[in-house]
Amino acid sequence: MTMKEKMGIHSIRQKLLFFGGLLCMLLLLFFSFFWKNSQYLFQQQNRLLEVQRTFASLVNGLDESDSRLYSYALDRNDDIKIRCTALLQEMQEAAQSLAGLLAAPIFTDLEYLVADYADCAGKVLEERNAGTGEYLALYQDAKERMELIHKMMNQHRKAVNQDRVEWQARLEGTQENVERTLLAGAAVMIVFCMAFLVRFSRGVTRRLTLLTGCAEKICEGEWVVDMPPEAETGHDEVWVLSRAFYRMLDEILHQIEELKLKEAMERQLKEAEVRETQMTARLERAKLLTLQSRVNPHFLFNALNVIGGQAAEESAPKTMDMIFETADYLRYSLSRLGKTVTLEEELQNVENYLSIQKRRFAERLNYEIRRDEGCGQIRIPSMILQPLCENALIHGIMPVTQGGCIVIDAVWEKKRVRITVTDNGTGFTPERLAQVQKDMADENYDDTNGIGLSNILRRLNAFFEEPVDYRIESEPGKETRVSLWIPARTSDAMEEKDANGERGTCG
Amino acid sequence: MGRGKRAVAVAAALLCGLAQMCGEAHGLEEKPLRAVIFYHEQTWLQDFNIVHEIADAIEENLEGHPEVAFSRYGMESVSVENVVKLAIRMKTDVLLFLGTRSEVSLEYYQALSDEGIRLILVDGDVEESGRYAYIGTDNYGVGEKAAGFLAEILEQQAEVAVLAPALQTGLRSVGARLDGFFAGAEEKGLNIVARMDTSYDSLTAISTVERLLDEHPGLKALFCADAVSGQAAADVLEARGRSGDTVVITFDRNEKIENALRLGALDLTYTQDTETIGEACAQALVELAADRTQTGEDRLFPCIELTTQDLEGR
Repeated sequence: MTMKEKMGIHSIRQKLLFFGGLLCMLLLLFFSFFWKNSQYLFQQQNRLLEVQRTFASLVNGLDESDSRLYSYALDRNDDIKIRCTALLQEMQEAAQSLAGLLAAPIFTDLEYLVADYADCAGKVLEERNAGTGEYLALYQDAKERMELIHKMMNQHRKAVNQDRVEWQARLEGTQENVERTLLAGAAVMIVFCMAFLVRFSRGVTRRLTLLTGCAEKICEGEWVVDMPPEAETGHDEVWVLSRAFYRMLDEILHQIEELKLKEAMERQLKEAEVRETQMTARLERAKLLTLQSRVNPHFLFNALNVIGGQAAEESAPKTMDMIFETADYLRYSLSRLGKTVTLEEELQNVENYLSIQKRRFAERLNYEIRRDEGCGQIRIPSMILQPLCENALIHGIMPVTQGGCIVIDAVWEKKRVRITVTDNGTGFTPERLAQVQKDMADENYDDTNGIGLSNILRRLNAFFEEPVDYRIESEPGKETRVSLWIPARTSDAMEEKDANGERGTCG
Repeated sequence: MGRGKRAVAVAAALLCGLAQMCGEAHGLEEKPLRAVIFYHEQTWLQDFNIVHEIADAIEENLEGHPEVAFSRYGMESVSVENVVKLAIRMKTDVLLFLGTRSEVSLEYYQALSDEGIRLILVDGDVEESGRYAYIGTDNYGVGEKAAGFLAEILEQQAEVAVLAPALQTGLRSVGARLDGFFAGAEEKGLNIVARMDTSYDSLTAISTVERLLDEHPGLKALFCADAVSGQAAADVLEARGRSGDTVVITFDRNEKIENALRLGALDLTYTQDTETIGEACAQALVELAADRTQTGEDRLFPCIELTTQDLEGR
């Protein structure tokens, strides 16, 4: 069973077919009636004419046969005989026909009388070898019969005329009835068609118009449209379409509401995340500040300066330089913590660090810092290069006994500055290098106790708000090279961002 | 064959048989009894036509009886010869006609009988005609009744005269009335002083009446066997101022007779009950159509009496 059948829907096609069928039947009935009555009228008209013609032919035949018979009685001409015989035959047929056409018994009587006359006249025609007198006697006998028929023909004439009058009246009556019925039938059909059209128009086109009106409102952005009561009527395709349309509209409205709700929730979630991130940054900053407060840099700087002054008074210039370098390094580390610096400042700090380490490792450590012109002006988070140099020193140079060298290059590559820290230390074994690269690829990798490169990259990504490219290359026993491609951001733009606090933390 | 199929076959056979029987019965009914009546087309002199009226009544009473095909012919001249010839030539089953008695007419009646055509006489009986039946007025009885009427109202030996058309026509209705009257008169002892023949010509009748009154000035009653004689008697008596003196009895009814009755010129007229006669004829035809072997039965009907008092009472 189809859905339509289940719902008891009468389709528009079914309605149209039903109406068409009914109309055809009415038309058929109408034209059958018209055709049958026309046939009847035509037949009766023909019958009337036939009666008149036959009766006239019979009356004329009686007179004509008499004169022919008389001629034959005198001349016995074969031609007259033939014509007379034919005439008598025609008369008998006419009388027979009249008896069949008219129900009055007098026409049956006439049929017999004509047959009797024809029989008698036939004797005149069949007589052979008789004299004229005998022929005339036979003729007289026939004539007497003919005259007797004539005497009573008045009755038949009256009957024929009466029949004509009656049938004409009947035909006129029938014709009037037919006309009246045809008019009534036409009126009924017109009313029927009009009623159907009005009903069809109300039932289908009105609901379609309502549906179109609703669609227009929706096109204009008015989504909240009520289903008019008319749309619920008439179990047909329009009804199905209306129901589907309004159900679809409800569904869309529901979806829109859900989307709005989801959007609001996502916005709230994002805001919460931002708040959380800011809170974490503030927490980290608080931690650093706490650490900083613990070290008490002012005390440390003052102490180192006092020691440096003492070293100068004691004529220990190397000690004095070392103390001042350490003080500078420490000041930089603490004062720039969590801030942006120029690459030049960072390189300077690294140089301080390496200089201090050089005093420690003497000939085991050499270093070189090279930079392209203008590279030093780009801004980066502080303490980016120092951990790399520290890694190179601890993991690369310290295991070798002499000739260690660390080279730092800062060169322009398109709109970025490539910073490379290269050491000629022990290098990574391939397995160790693969492990390091794998760890770097893992976002959740925590290398607090490792080489610290992942921490540097996270800070750089957060600072530049985009992934910063890097590469780790190593040949065991030969060299290890760590490269960073730093986006060249103008100092002003970075400072402005710094000032607005829009950048992610770098500390 | 299953029970159902057998039942259907039996029903079909029964239906076929029934249809055949009906067809045969219908075939029998298809030939109606053909009956024909002839009468004068004109109302003639008395402004009435008894046979015509009977024909009307027959026709009326045969409506709804298709088993009888009834033809009626009003002709300018009706003679026994022509009527019988026509009846024979048209091969009718029954001829209805008025009764006339003459040697010639008896021959024609015989010819009818020879052809197997049944004759029903409606206005005047001729027993020798070999008729199938006489269905009409009891003319003889009416004559007797008229004699009885006069015997009641007249004194002993009061002069009574009889006027009747000459009987050359052989009309048996008039003859029977006269026969009955004379028989009744004899029985009642009426004094009939004269009997004069009139004709169906009014002038002749008037002159006859005048001659009669001249010859019998003391005449107390006149029995007129036909309407023409009756009207003539009334006219003459009225002209002579003797309307109340002489009792006049006549037959049939028309406007003149009614006027004469009102004026007292006529005292009594006997009219034939044509409607009843027509009804009886129709009934006889229907019965004959149902059984064409049956023999006929005579039906005699009395006349309707109409007096001056009857007219005044209306």
